[in-house]
Amino acid sequence: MTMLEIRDLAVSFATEGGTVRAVNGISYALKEGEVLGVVGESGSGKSVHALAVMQLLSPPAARVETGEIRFRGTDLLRLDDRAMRAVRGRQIGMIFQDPISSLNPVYTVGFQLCEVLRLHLGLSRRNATTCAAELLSLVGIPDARQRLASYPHELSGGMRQRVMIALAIACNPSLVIADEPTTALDVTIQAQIVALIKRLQRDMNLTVIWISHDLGVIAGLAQTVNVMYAGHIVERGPVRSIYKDPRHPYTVGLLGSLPRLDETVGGRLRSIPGRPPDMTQLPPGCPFAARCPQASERCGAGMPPVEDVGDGHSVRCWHWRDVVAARAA
Amino acid sequence: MSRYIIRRLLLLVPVLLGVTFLTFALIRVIPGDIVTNMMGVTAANNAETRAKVLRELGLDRPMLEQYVWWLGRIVQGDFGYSFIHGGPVIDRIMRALPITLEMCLLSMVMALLIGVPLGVLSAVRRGRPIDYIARVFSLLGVAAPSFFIGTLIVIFGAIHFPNMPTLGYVPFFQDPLGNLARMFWPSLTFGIGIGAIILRYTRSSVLEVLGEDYIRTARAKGLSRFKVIFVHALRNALIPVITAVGVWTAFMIGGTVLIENIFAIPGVGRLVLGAIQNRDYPIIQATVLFLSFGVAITMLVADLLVAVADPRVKFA
Repeated sequence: MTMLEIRDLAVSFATEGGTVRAVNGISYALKEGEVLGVVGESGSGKSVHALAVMQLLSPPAARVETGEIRFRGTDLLRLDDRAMRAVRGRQIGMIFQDPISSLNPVYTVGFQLCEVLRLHLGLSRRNATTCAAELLSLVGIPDARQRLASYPHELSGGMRQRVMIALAIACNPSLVIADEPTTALDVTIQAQIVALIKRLQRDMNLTVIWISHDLGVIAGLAQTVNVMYAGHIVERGPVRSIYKDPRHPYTVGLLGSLPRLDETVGGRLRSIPGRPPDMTQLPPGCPFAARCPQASERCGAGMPPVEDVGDGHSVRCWHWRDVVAARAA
Repeated sequence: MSRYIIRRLLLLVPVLLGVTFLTFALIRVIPGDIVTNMMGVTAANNAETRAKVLRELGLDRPMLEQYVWWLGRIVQGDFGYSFIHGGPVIDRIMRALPITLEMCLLSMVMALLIGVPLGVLSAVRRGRPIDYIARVFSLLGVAAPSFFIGTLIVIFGAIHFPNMPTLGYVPFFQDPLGNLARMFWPSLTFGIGIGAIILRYTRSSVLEVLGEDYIRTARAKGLSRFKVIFVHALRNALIPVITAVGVWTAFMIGGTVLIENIFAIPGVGRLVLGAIQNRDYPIIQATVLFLSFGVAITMLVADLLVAVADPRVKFA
């Protein structure tokens, strides 16, 4: 069953420097129980598209220009504020990047958890407290009862992110959006958080959108991957196919930038030359053309269409066959 | 927490010593002569009378000796006698102080009632007409001196509310309604001036907090706009405002002189102004002591309130 279907979504921001075209017509569908990884560098539109799903973009600066976001068949963009509030936190939970600043510093963990339980599930104060303690144990926080009375600043970064996860899954949502949930954490803690979400996903049959710029994390977690660049999904496919057989020069570059353990010590780290385009003045053609080793005249003329390369793998590049040929050679 | 309070109170001792010593020295430096004020020009020109008066008041001794002697009496609870009126200083202060405290309290209530709601509204409706109205009001309120606002209010009150007395004072326990009616206008004057400042603090603080990540979290939980603003944003936004309110309450305690004179209220401000004109040293010294104590206590209370609102604040 399709959980989420996004069609031709475009989001822009009005800034003093001009209109930032953050998301430029993306489409994809997400099945129930699927884990989707969204990768891309900062400013690629991955977080913005997630905030658009939750409708947490703040008007009037941010505007959804076109598109549909169908969640279980309903277009979220057509819901009024009240109906949307019933979706947020209840049907779609969201985990944010920075657990330090994402919890309210002046309220206890218990208050912040009970608040959402009472709002959506109508629990009594007592039941909400019991339920909140169970949630904290579920996300691996010891002494859950006592921790309910803790303020966020009394917990470590990893513990706070566990609390954020508890908040997101509190009302048993069907979709969880995790927006770089491990970026702000230590590497050892990152692994624990990834393992926790993996376990919860399996146990609760959650559908997850995992946004990250860490290809390693995505590889171990996702079934499908969207690669985003300058507000476009430039490549999309099953995780194995994307990593083993990337068709877009940008994905190739991203994977090539990963440091490898079997490499000579002291060797240079590779990166993609150039910088992402100015999002206020996107070129008419492929936005990656200026940095692309395969670029030709054709690339500057127009954005290539989404091309299906088989096995649910699709790419937006005129030269994807050249990429495959270059790898074979 | 009680340790913290005791430490703050102990720290107050050197502050009060400094303030009283400075006052002591300054009033003796400014031109003007107590003997002339007490006895008239003719008597003051008589050297014998003059020496006798100065000796009786203890003013013939070196200043440092006078200060130490005065301190010794204060510690025993003796604030001395007025040079001009002869009565005990403490009686006059105890009569004036409650009046000033009542006015400060009412003014702060008024300022908060004006400043906080308008500040929140202005931040939440940023860029809309109500925001511009609130900002123009706060600009005028900050820019206009209190004697100007006060004079306008006296005239306005006298014309449009002829049954409501604008000037003078009646004790609260003698006539509660009459007391509040008379206190209303001076409090409003102060309330507008300080409310305008609180409005600006509240507005910028709320705007800052609304951009915080935890506000996005609150919205992601599906909370209503009302709850996001009043439960999650306001308490955080008010933390810096509390400190500002403390500072401005302290400022207000010192600023009562003008308002009390405009509205003919027999408070501490009027008392000290008259005493300065008459060079009535004991009254000036004792009043300044009380006022600086009041300012220090206000700041302490503000700091304690910040700790109540913000669990991250720890007393060291």
